[in-house]
Amino acid sequence: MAKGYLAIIFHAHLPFVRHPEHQDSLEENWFYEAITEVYLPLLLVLEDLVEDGVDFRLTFSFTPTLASMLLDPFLQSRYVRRIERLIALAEREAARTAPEPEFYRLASLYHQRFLTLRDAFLNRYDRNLVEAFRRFQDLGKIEILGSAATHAYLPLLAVNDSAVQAQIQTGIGHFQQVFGRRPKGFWLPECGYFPGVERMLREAGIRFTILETHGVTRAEPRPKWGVYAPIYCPSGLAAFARDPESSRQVWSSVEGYPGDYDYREFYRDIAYDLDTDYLRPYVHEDGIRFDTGIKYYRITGKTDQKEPYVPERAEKKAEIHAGNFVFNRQKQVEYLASAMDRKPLIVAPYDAELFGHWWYEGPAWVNHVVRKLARVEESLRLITLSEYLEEYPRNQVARPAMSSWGNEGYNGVWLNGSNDWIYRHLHRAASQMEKLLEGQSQPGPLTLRALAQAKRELFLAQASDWAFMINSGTMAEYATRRTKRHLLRFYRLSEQIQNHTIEERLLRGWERQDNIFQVL
Amino acid sequence: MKKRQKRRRSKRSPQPTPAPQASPDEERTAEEWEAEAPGETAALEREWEELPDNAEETKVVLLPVNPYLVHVYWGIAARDLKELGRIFKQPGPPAQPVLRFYETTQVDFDAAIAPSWFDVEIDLRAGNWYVHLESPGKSYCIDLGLRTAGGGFRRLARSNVTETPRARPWGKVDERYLLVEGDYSRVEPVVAPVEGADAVETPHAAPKDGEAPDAEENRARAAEPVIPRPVEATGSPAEVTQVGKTPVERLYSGEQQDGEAKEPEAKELRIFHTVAPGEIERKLAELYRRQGQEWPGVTTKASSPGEPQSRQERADLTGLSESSFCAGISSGQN
Repeated sequence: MAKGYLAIIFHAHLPFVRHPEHQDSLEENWFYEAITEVYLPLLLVLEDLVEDGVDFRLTFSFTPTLASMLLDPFLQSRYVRRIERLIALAEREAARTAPEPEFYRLASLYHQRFLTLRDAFLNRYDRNLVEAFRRFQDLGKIEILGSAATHAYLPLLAVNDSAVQAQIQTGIGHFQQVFGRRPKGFWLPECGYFPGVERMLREAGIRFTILETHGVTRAEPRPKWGVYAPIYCPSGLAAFARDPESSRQVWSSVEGYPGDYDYREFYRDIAYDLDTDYLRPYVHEDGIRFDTGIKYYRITGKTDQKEPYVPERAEKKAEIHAGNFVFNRQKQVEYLASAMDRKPLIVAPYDAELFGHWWYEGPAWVNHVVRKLARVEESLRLITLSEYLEEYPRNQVARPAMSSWGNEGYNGVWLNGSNDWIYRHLHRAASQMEKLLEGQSQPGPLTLRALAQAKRELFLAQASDWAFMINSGTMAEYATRRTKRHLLRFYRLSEQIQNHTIEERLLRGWERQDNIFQVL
Repeated sequence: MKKRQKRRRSKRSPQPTPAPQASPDEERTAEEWEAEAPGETAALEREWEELPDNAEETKVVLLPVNPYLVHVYWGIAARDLKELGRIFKQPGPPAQPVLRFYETTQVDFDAAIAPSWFDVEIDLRAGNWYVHLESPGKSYCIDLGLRTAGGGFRRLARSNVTETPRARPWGKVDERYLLVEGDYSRVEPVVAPVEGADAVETPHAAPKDGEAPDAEENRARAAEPVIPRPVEATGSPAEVTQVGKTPVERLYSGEQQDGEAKEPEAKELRIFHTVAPGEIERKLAELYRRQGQEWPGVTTKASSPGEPQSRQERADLTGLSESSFCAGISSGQN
């Protein structure tokens, strides 16, 4: 019998980025990269584990924005175009690097890899990766969590209860449509917790959520078991919290595994080494450079003189790091079990995009971690958070503290001098939405469509990603444009609904472009 | 529309179940999009005007940034702007725009009798302000207004109430427990679990068609619940149900409820934060005594030196978690 449990959670999210109006959208490429580097590789790891009869439990959250994109035939088609371009590029790279064996070998491996991924996407999964993950849910191997409609940062929307409730309820409704059941757990975007959201989650039938460490360690009264057992909010909602040790080992750029010198160097992509004319047919028709995913070098050290990547060494290192991770968790559980009245639980949530995108060997590491854990079941076992609550339904009651997993641990990433202008508009629009809904006694079909689109535009404006990007300075202009675009569309629709002057042509265009949540 | 190639299903894939698809007519290329609705995409992108900055009504909003910083923004409606212009033109010492901070958990309070407040002087034209605060973990409401030379205050708007986050763990461990099962089919205050009492070993079998375990089944499997009952209460099944349905949050909140006296069981449970210091401890001890247990007591994280402790008492797991916590370690934010 295990002495303790480990819950690994992959939070998968991308903002809703869909630009049919552009032939080649730079921003859509985030999505295509994530399919190639994260979602498909993780799925293939899960397939292998099931195939080899390895028992495991993992937790995933797919935000409604990401799930909608994964289900969108237009984006699916564009992904096929993208992976085909990569296959052609890798083929050409193999020809170009033929005189240099170590690069030729890597180019050939990329070529083979892309062919495998295309085959998986088209043939094994029939383009539908949501369905692919859902099958593992139905097999009981993974638990999938619900999340807010468009990954809104809820603590800063709390001025309007209705805005937070709409994000929660629409997120859960979408989950039901897509995954065929109600979620028991809810991923709070950015782990953003504020006092009051627990009541709304409870009202929506959610059993548990996950907070950053200090959301629970600073709960009132002081929790007895720190982050190693959930607490119940007075509403009865369970709050689990992140274990800082296991987070740091994976995340930290200094102490963490991904910084190992044998791992692939993220920033050295052929997109920045080769001629624009050479790359143009495969990357962007305007000659814009962005990552292709073909990278030939390893981290090597704190130097610009990078050495060629050796896949076997990296794979071996992933296995060693997996062993180290499991060993450390075993030791941790051993100590905790001796100090607690129950089996301790280590909660380890990560952004899914770390695994494969930022850390190329991440999926291989996951594979080794799960296999190694299956061999040490007597000391440590993987579990889902629902299973833990079934085993331990009795927990201490405490009020969690306001917290997030953002820099400094509170709201500052999403609220500072660079992005604070957003909130007066988001709050105003949310109040306006309440008035619109109250003001329609018997809306006609066109008004109903306009109301639904106004909701979509408001949801899209509320995405936390825009404030995050404005704060970090990466793609800040795009993020500003997106925020303004959705707010302007919202205001215009609102005005037209109130004045009974809905422009059907305009509405149709926006419905096609911002087509998230087809049923609202 | 392009015809997809015939698909093969890998025998390794788990069995598929149907999932909803987006509408197939969305599967268009950008060229098709443009051909179908020429000029439409340009029209969609034409909107480059600024967002409206006129306030429909005068309002002020308070948002917490971190334990020591809040953000305040405000907007003044056109009619109030006229009135303000008139006030500022009056002869004599000018009025000073301020944010008046009240420490309160209620928005409907009488400022005239508020025990304490402090003012932060602002420039009204700024539209927003950041205010540094000394004490974390407080609840505030603010009035945006004008402080006149004579000490008077003219309120323009009152904000929402907001809490600032706590900056460190609480010192006191207070043993309160809940039992929650199924989809809230059962929610009951209980005493602390006896070691291993709740350990219902999870069988790790595949769930049955994704449904939550049946409430009845749950009842049978879980450890016998321990519902604190007053000695004098009869504890009929109806009353037990009532306890389960009592809004648990209110039991723990210390809110006084109408009709409280008519529900002896609920009243007995409503022992937290409602009574004088010392009384809580006495009632908790009584609650535990009825279950044949000894209440571990409200303990502070550091016990007296030289006092013998069990390993469980020695372990300060909250302190341990807190000491190794490093904020913002995810998402490449740190």
